[in-house]
Amino acid sequence: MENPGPESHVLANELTTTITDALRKIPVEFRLPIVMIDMGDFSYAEAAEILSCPIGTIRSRLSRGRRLVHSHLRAYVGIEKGREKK
Amino acid sequence: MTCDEAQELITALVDQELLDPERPLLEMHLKECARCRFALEEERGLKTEIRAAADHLQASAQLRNRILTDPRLFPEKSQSTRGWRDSIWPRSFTLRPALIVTLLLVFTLSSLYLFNVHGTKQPIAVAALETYGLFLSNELPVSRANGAAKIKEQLIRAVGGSFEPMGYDFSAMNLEPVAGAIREIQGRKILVAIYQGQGGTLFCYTFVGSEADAPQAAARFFDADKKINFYAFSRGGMNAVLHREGDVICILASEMPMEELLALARSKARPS
Repeated sequence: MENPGPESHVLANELTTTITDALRKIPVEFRLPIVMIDMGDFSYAEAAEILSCPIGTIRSRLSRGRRLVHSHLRAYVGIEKGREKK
Repeated sequence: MTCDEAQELITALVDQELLDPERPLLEMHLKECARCRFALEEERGLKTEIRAAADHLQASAQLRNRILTDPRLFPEKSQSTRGWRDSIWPRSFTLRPALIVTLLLVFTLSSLYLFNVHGTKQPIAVAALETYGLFLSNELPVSRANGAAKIKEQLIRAVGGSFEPMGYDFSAMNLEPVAGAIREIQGRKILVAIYQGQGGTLFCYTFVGSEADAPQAAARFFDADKKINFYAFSRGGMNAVLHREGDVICILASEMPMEELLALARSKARPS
């Protein structure tokens, strides 16, 4: 496999920083489901059990939270998708 | 089904959590709605990026040990009494590793936040970059002079000849030296050479130091040809690349893309 080179690592690091920055900016009730499900590989049922709320609440907060994160990241997501197509 | 109603279902579909009877309803809507198909692809991409970011985050070993040895998280190792802890600690053994992972992520994010907002002593390399914003808002006292030699002479004189600015030539990038400045941060003097032109604005910081002055979060690359480490980091929309030449540290900072800035630093750096 071809070595991705240092520039790829820089971009990955930059993207990680941008995503964590975006997560910090959104309210905690939307942040927790994202951290648990997208970063921690929880299922909706597991997240609902730990956060003591209905699965429907997890789903709606996750949906709203991702849209908030996306609004901060739109340019970066576009870049990554474009690179994958090469 | 409206697009607004589809939004939450798209989230569940991305997570493979959408079951009957909602799933066929959404699939039918997606066949007819290009906008929601696009939203589905975007959300899949976003989930992938967030997941990739999680892979880059690592809690410190000390924090990891504190969590893994915390009796609240491993009650079987202690004689703790049952109580309010039961309400947050899942009884299911299968959930405990997942909760630990989440706690590590949450604490890591929190520590990043605390460092950024309340940190009292940020790395000198990061502190130096604040001059960039001051310059752009005309709040940085600078010494303007005609020609690179004159600016270099003024900067050398300001530190009594103890060290020199790098004096790089960026004319090929349409950048010419326009001013110099001296900053004292954490008791150390930093020479700032400011380049401007059609290529934008670029700062070249020089100060006596070591590679330990690079921010911990910086990405490090080793140029095997020049045998030099380069440290790349970003702050406030600005990119920066640090390297060492002898006992002097050089930081190039600019709003140009990180790949270009890194390539520029590698092309100009001189082996010690």
